[in-house]
Amino acid sequence: MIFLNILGLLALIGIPILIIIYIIKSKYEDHKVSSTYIWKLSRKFQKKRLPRRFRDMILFILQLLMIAAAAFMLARPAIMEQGVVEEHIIVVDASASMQAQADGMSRFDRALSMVHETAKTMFEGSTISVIIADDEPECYIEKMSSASEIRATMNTAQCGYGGCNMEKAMELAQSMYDANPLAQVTVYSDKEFAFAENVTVHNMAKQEWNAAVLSVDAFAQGGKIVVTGDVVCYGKSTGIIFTLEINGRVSDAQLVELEDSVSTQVEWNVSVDEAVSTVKVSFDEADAIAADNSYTLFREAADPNKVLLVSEYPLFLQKLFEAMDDCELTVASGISAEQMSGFDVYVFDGKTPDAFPTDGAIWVINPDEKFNQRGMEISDAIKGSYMTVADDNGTEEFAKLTNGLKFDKIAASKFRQVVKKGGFDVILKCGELPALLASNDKQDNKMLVMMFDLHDTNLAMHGEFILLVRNMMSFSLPKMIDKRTYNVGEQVTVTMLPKSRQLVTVLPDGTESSPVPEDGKHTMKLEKCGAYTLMQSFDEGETKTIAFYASIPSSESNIFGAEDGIKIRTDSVSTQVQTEETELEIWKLFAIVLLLLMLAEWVVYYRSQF
Amino acid sequence: MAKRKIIDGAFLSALDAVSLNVHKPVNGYMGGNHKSKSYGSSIEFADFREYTPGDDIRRIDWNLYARIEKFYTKLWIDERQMHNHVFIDTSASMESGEPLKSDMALKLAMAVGYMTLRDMDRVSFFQLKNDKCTDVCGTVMGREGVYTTAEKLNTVDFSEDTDMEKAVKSCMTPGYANGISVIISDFFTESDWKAAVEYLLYLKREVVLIQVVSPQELNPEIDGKAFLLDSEALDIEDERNVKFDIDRSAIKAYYAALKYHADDMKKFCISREIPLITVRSDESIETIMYKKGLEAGLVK
Repeated sequence: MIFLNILGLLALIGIPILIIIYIIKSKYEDHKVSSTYIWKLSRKFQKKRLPRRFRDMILFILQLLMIAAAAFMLARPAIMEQGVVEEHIIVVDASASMQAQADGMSRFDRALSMVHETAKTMFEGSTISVIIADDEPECYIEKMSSASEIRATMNTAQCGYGGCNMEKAMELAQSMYDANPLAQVTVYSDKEFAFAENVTVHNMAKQEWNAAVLSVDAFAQGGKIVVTGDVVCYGKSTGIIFTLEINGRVSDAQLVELEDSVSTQVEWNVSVDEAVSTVKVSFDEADAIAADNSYTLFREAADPNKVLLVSEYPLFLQKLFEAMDDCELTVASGISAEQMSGFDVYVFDGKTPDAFPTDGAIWVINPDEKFNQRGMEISDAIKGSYMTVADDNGTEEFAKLTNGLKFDKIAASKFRQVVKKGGFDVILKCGELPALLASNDKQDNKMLVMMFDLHDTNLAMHGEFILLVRNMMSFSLPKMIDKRTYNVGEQVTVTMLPKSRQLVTVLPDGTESSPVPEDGKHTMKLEKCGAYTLMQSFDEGETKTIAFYASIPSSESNIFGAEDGIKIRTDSVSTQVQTEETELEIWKLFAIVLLLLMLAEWVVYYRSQF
Repeated sequence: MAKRKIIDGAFLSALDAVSLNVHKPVNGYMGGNHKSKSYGSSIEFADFREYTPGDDIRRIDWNLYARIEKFYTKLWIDERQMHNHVFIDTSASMESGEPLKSDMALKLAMAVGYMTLRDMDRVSFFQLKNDKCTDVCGTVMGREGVYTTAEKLNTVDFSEDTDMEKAVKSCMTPGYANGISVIISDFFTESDWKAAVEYLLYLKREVVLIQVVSPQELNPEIDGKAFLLDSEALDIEDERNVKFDIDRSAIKAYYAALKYHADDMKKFCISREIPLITVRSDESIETIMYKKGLEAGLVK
């Protein structure tokens, strides 16, 4: 033991002073009284107690000890401690399977508690870095040494609902290890990774079990709705009752016997009198992860796309649209402006109206010289050539319109020449000149202009024609999102519909936000499991709403899953250790001793007085 | 001993409203205000006395009334006269306290004497010291004796110790069934004061005990290791001096002893039908006479 403030021991001078006080105090003081008669009589009324001398001795000893304790406390005693300074690099798996609960704690929480324990017990000067490994691993704590700060920071870490990009996490760990090969690397996960020898792995899995609804599908068949669900149970074989809800109402339930880790399909055939918009399969069991105990399927509305075909010779297009299940075709040879409303797509074949409708997409096939929409100028027809796909302008619209097109030996005998493109992009060329153009104003309704008459080409004879029309429909009627089911961790791109003014997103927890789309699109990363809602609003109070479901990845439902091996390099395993000496001050111990002595002294004194 | 000046006109006028209360018949000789067992036949005039309600109106002297327009009665020598004794403990323990107990003792002695003389009785003052009883100023009679007595009492010396039994028994003129014997002391003594009282009762005296204590004796303010020196101790080795470790429990024991002593005195006095008055040296004579004296039946 050493003393950091040796002058504090000067307080020991109080000991001889105390002895002198006691010597002086032990003398009796003369008091003259009228009579000692009553005092003498009082002796028989005195209670039997410890002899005064004995009490005084105890008090004296206590006071001596108090002086000694105070002197030692002031001298700041310290014990020299030697220990190893370490750097800890810790990777914590934050995938959905780490939420598996056992004994009231999730695997993720248990891992964090082990991190706190390491922080508490490491030698002074040691540091901890923590990497949280979810879909986007990041360094949550970098070289922190205070246990309390580490605890406070780690308390904000959360386990995700997605997967675990362990490879990227270990890359981060690798970069730290390269800077200090003496560092200790530890991984807390519930999956079997094949790490290098110098990586300590803690498997956080316990004896949990987890059942899951992996996916749901529904389709109409013979006037009924057939619903199928893939279900599984990991960790044990058991029977589980699965409940089916259609449009938010319980429709049926089924007991399914599940074998450990064997995926099983559950099926329902139900009669429904109304259009089915949501189908949900769920079960009620206290398993390890609750997030995968239900699955909701949102279905497309059954309304067909309304198409108005204005043409004198509609044969090719009419046959094609009639063959499409999702189209409701109206054919007219001529139509007034008042009748041009309420359709999703207007096809003007060889006819150019005085005013184009504004409530749907517009196709103009073989426009006449009157056509001058959106800055385009055209001239007389010229001799045609072979048609090809134009050069890729890198836009999504171009990709959509040219998806799957090969355009081999498709030619036009004549076509209208475009003098000025205006607000259009070239999709198909005839020779080197534009043959099919698409509007590029995202705010306005879509417009496609085909510079040739179908009868002047052999396009309708090719299968490309069907594909092209499908692509044109897809371009003309964009969807807000491309599918209705996602996995947590995926990115969803929301397309702003033509003339949409505002987008509102609602998360599974009810949080609403109004993001500002960029270039007609908004991308959001799915971090929570559950149903999301998207709403776009238009002029005159119109809105369009669509919902989709994000589930935890199927692989995360398997709480005993294995992963491929991921290694961390060990170029050199150093045998050197960095040791340091620190002083451990123990003055607080003496302060406690002093307080206890003061208490004891007070008790003895109080008892002697009272 | 320096002269005191504790008995003065103001003190005496405070006593005019009360008089001594005699319970037993008196066996005195001279004219007095008290009933006697025997009837006298002498008509010899003795003295005038101011009329008080209850007196026989036949005794009113109308000639004196005509002269001074005040009522006075005549006293004849066949009325008996008391001879009261006042025994004052003049040991050193009485010369302590603040205010001094000795001052209060002398005031009380003078009060008793004044009331006696005002009632045309006789009084004697005795000083108890060691084992002797000394007459301070002889038998005092008549009001004119008051001031002389006061002067003599002012010179009484309080010192040494007192053996109360021996001192009282050594009194040459203790009297017999002819008055009140008042003992004024602190009674903090190992001597047998009860025997002194029994002696006086045997002499058919009406005994009254007045205990004088100081505030310091009632609430001692001594703490720690103390060598208590008795005021009556002869020297430092005197066994009356004691060492004491005074703490809270010792004080509690002191109070218990004080109460025990007081209860013992009270019990003794009740059993002998003796008035006992305990006074503090810092109390006023009016409080003592009008309140305690009346309660105890000493005065009326």
